Amino acid sequence: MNIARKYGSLIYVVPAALITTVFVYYPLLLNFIYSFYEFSAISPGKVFVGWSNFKELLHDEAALISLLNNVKYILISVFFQVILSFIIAAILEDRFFRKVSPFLRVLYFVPVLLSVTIVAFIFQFFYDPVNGLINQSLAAVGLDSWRQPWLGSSDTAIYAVIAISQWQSMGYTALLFIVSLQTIPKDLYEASSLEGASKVQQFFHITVPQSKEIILVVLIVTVAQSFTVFGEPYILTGGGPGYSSSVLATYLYENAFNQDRMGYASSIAVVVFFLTMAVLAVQLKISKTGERS
Amino acid sequence: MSNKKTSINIILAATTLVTGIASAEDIELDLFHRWPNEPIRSFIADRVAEFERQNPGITVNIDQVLNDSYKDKLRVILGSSNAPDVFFSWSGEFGNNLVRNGTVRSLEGFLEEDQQWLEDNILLSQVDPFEYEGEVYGLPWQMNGKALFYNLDAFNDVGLDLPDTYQDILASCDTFRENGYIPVVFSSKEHWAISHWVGTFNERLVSPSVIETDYQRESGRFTDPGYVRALEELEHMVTQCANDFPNATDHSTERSMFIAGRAAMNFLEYGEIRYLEEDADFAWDSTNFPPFEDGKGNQNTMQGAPEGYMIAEKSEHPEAAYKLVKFLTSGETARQSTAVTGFISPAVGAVTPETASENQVAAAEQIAEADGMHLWLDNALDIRIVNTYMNGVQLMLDGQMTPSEVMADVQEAAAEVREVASR
Amino acid sequence: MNFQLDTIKSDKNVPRPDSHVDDGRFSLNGLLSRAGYTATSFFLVLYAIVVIYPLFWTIINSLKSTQEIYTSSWSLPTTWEFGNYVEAWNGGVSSYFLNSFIVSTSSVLITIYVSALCAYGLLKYRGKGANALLLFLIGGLLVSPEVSVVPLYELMQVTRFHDTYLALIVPYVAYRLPITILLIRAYFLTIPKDLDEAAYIDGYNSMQIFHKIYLPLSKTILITAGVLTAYYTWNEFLFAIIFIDSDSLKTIPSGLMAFRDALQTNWGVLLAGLVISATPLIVAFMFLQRSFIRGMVSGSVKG
Repeated sequence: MNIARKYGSLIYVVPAALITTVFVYYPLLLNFIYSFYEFSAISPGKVFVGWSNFKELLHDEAALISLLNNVKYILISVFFQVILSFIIAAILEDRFFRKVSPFLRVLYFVPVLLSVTIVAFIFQFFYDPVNGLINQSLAAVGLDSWRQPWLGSSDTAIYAVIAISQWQSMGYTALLFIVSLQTIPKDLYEASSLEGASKVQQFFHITVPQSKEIILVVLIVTVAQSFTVFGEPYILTGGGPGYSSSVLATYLYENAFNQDRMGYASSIAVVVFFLTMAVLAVQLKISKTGERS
Repeated sequence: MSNKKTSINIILAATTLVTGIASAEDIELDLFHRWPNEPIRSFIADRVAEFERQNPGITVNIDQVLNDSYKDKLRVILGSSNAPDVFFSWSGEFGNNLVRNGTVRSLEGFLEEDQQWLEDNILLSQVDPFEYEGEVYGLPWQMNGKALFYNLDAFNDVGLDLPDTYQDILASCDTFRENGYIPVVFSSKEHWAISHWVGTFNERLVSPSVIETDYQRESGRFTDPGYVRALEELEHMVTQCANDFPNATDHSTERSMFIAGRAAMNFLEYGEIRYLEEDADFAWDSTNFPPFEDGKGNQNTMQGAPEGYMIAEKSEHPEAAYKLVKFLTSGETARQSTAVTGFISPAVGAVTPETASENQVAAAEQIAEADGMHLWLDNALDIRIVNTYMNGVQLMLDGQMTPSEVMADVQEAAAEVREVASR
Repeated sequence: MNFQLDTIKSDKNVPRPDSHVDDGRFSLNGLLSRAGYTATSFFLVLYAIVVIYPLFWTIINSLKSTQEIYTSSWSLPTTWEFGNYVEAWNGGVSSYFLNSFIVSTSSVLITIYVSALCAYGLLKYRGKGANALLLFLIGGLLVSPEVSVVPLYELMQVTRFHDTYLALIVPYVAYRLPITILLIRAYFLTIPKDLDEAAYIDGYNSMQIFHKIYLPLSKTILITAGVLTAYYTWNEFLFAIIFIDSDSLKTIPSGLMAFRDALQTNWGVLLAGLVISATPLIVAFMFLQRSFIRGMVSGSVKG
C-alpha cells in the first residue's frame, strides 16, 4: 500500500474537520479565554480581569436563581418526560389500546413539531390574566380565587414556563420509549401472563428492567436539555418578573446582548459547559456499563 | 419589495438617460429604525422611496425592530462590521453611550454649512439634547412626552372633577372602582413602561439638583429618601388604583383596555394619540402628570425627549447618510408625518391646525409648557442600573421586595457603574 | 450512545400476549383490569384533549377578528375571517417561510454530503490515529451551541457571515455534523467490502465508488439524518435571533417574534401566521411518519 493510497482518503475528512475546528472547537476555546476578560460589543478593546468574572458569578444572586430554575426545570421535566411519558408509552403498547395506539402516538407527537415560538405564543394567550382561557375557565367554574397572573408572578412564572416545555416534549420521549418497548421479547409477557401476573406487576418486573438503557438515555437527554433551555423563558417572560424565571441561558443572553458584558456572559457559558459535560460524562459511563451487561 | 425597487431603478435609469445627468456612483445605505408596526413602517418606507427618487444612485435598505429589542440589537450591530449608516436613537444617555464608544459620527461639519437650513426646519431647543461635549450627534424627528390621559366620559359618569394633584387621583380611585372602572390602567411587564412612571415620580419627589447628580454615571448614588418615597407611592398607587396583574400585562394590552373604555386614566405617550383618535369612542383629554402636594422635586417636568436619527461612525457614505437624515427630519417630511404617524414633530411649523389634529396641537403646547423635558428614565440611566431598578420594581409590585430593598440594590448597581465610569 | 434502533414494527404483525380480558370468563382480576382500563382510557383521552385543544383553539381563533377573540374566544367565529391568512402571508410570514426553507434545505444538503464524505474517508483511512480522528470529529456532540454564542457572534462578524443566510447555515452544519457522521459511518460499516473491490476492478476511482455505490446504498440513513437535521434547523431559535438582524432574512422562529411586534394586538392575524408556520412540518410528518420516527430514534442521543 503506497502513501497516497494510505493517506489519500483523508481528503474526504478535510471539509468536516475544517468546519468542526473553526465553528465548534475554536469558539469553545475562545469562550474560555474570553471569560477572563471584560469587554463590550460596541468597543473593540478587551480588558484582562483574571478570575474576577468567576468571583462575581459566585456572589451573583441572579445567577443563583437562574441555576436553581434550571434545577426545577430538570426535576419537573424528569417527572413528566421520563416517568410519566414512559408510563404512557407502556399503556400505548398494551394490546388493549392497539386500535387507537397508532393514532394517539401521532397525535401526542404533534406538539413536538411546533416551533418553540409558536408554542410560546399560543400559551401566552392561555396564560393572559384577564382574557386568558385558564383564568376564564377558573372563573367559569367558580374558582375565582385560584386565578393567577401566571407569567407575571414570581411564584408561578417559572412553573408556567416549565409546563409549556412538558406539553411540547412529552410526545417526543414517549415515542422513543414506544420504539424501544417494541423490542422487548413478547414471550416474556406470555410466560408471566400464564403465571397470573397482573399488568402492573408485568410493568415493574418486565417492562421497566428491560428498558433500563433507553430510560437512562432519555433521562440524560432531558437533563442536558434542561440545562440549556432558552426559547421558552426568553419569549414568555424574558426571565421576569425580576429574575424569577431566568435560567442560565437567558441570563447569559441578557448579559451579552442587553447589558453588553460579553466577558461575564462567557464565564456563565463556561459554567453551562461544565454542567452539560458532567451530565454527558455520566452518560458515557453508563452507556459503557450498558455494553458490558 | 424587490419588484418595487427594480421598477424604481428602471425609472431612475430612464430619467438619467433623458436628462443626461450622469448619476453618481451607486451608493447603498442601511437605515435601522424601531417601528416594525404600521402605519409608521410604511410611512418611513414611502419617504425613503421618495428620497431614492430624488437622489438617483442612492438606494436605501431599511430594517426595523421594536422597542426593547431595538436597544439590544442596535448596541450590538453598531460595533459589528455591518453597522447601519443611519439609525434611530433617543437623545440623552442612550445616544451619549453610543457617542462615548465612538460609534456615532459628529454632525458638526455638516451643520456648519447648513445652519440656515437647520434654523428654517427644526426647533433648536429640540436639537440641544442631541449634543454631547459641545457637538451635535443627531437630529430630532419626533418630540415625545408622557402625559396622563383622561376618559372624560368615565369622569362624567361617576361625577368627579379631573384631579388637580396626585393625591386627588388616589382619592378618586374607590369611586371609579365602585362604578366598575379601572381607575388607572397600568402595566409593568416591560421595563421601559415602568421606567416612565418611576422617572416621573422621581422628578416630582426628589430635588432637581440631586437628580442631576444621580443620573450621571460618574456620580450616581441614589441615597436620597425621595427615591424610596417614589417607589412607595408607586406601590401605593398600583394597589389602590390599578388593574390586577400588572406584571403580566404589557403596554399594548394596557392601552387596549383604556381604548375599550374600561379605565378612567392611562399614562400614555403623545405618540400614541393616533390610537385613541382611531379607536376610542369616548371623549378624552390629556395633561402633564399632576403635581404631588408635598413633593420636593419639580412638579412640572415631563418624561420624554426628542428622538431622532444619527449617522454611524463606520458609515462609508457619510454625505449620502447626512442627506437621508436631513430628508427624514426636514419640515417637508414632518408636515406629512404628523398626520400619518401621529408623532409630534419638532420641525418648524409642522404642528399647526392645518397639518395636525386638535389633540396633537394641544400636545405640542403641553410639551412647550412643561418645565423642561426629562429623558425617559430607561434611557437616562446606565443599562445596569436600569435592569436592577426595573427588576426590583417588578418584584416590589409582586410583594417580594420593599421599596428600600429595591433602592439598596440600585445603590449597589450605581456603585459598580461609578467604578466602571471612572476607569 | 449505543442505543440504536432503526425499525419501528408494525403493530399488526406482532403477536401479543393476551390479557385477562377476553378469555370469556368472569374473574375478579378481569373486573379490576376493566376498571383499570377505563381509568387509563380516561387518562389517555384527557391527555389527547390537552394536546389537541390548544391547537384547535388556535385554528378557530385565527379565523376571528381581534375584537371577537377578546369577547368570545370559546365559540366558533361569527364571520369567518379568512382574510387573516392573506394578511399574515403578505405581512411577512411568506418571507420567513421562504427563508426557513432556504436555510433548512441548504443546511440539510451540506450536512449530509459533508458527513457522508467524512464517514467514507474515515472508513477508508487505515493510517495512524484513526480512532483519535473519529473522536475529534464526533467530539462536538459534547458541546452545546449555547456555550459558544459570544465567540461565534464575533466569528460571524469577522467572516462577514453575520446577517446573511450563511450565519445560520454554517453553524447549523457545524453542530449537526458530529451526530450525522456517527449515524452514517455506522451504516457504511455494514456495506460489504466486496462491492468496493468489484467497482475498483471495473475502473471506478474512489470518488466514483463513493458517489455511485455508497451514497445510493445508504439512502435510508441519509434520509433519516436529513429529517433530523431539517427538524433541528426548522426550529432553531437562539442563533436565529442573534445572527440575523434583517427582517427580510429571518426564519420562522425568529420572524414570528418580529411579526408579533409589528402586529401589536392584531391577534387574529398573528394566530393565522402561527397556523401557516406550523402546517408544513405537520403535513410533512404525516407523510414521512415512518422515516421521521425512525430518525428520531436513531438520533435519540442528541435529538
